[in-house]
Amino acid sequence: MSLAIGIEERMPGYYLVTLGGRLDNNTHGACEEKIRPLLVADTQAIMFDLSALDYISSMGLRVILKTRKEILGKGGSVHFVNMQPQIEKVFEIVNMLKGMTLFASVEEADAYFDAMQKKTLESG
Amino acid sequence: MDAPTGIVAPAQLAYLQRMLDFVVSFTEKAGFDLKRIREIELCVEEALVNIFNYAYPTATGEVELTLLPGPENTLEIRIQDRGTPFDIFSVQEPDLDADIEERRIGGLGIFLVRRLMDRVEYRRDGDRNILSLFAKLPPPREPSGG
Repeated sequence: MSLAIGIEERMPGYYLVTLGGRLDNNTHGACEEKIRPLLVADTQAIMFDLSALDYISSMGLRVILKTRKEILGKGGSVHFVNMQPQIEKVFEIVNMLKGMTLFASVEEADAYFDAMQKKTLESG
Repeated sequence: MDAPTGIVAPAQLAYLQRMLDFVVSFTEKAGFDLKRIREIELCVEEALVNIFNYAYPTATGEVELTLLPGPENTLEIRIQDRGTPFDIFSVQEPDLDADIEERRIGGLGIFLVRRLMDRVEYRRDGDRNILSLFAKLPPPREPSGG
């Protein structure tokens, strides 16, 4: 089994990263490489859609943690859509859900970022 | 559950999947639900990767995984190597109260094993590290019908 990665720019600076299958020892390197181009100042938000992610190990968690650390350092944010119970439990144990918005669907996330961007435009 | 069953492989990443498949197929037959199977798989992966990375710094060695009935209706997953002594309980828990951005990225795997398994034991016996992970067996399936 392997990892399927999809990256889509939903709005300028707002990326949807869809992960399916397994984010583990075998696949974390490929995942990190695909995400690396997004770790720039122009990225405002990365949304991980985890609906189809079946399995995550500590190496996989590290990729997510590093991504979050880099993006926050550049003034952006990282969020999650929909995770399976076993993934949510692992996230809970490592206290990763603290202070995070967990969206139920991509539509919900889109609406949130749409609103956020309008707010940014108004205040800018 | 039946007699102990096991698998021996070189302590190398190339053999990880084979060992995980062995555990998954066993736990499926034993009737664990999918969520628990993924948790058990995760713990075995973390334990094995730790051995692959640290047990044999100079030479190559083997790792032995055995599945056997444990006390109090549990499945025991016993993982043995002949490498550097490593007590899983000697590792300090990561500071989970620290903001995630401040937190050192490390020690997560062992922490997950200790939290997800129903019990974890370590002992050093001669030149062997013996790590036992215990998971409560699922209740027997109800007869269908009625």
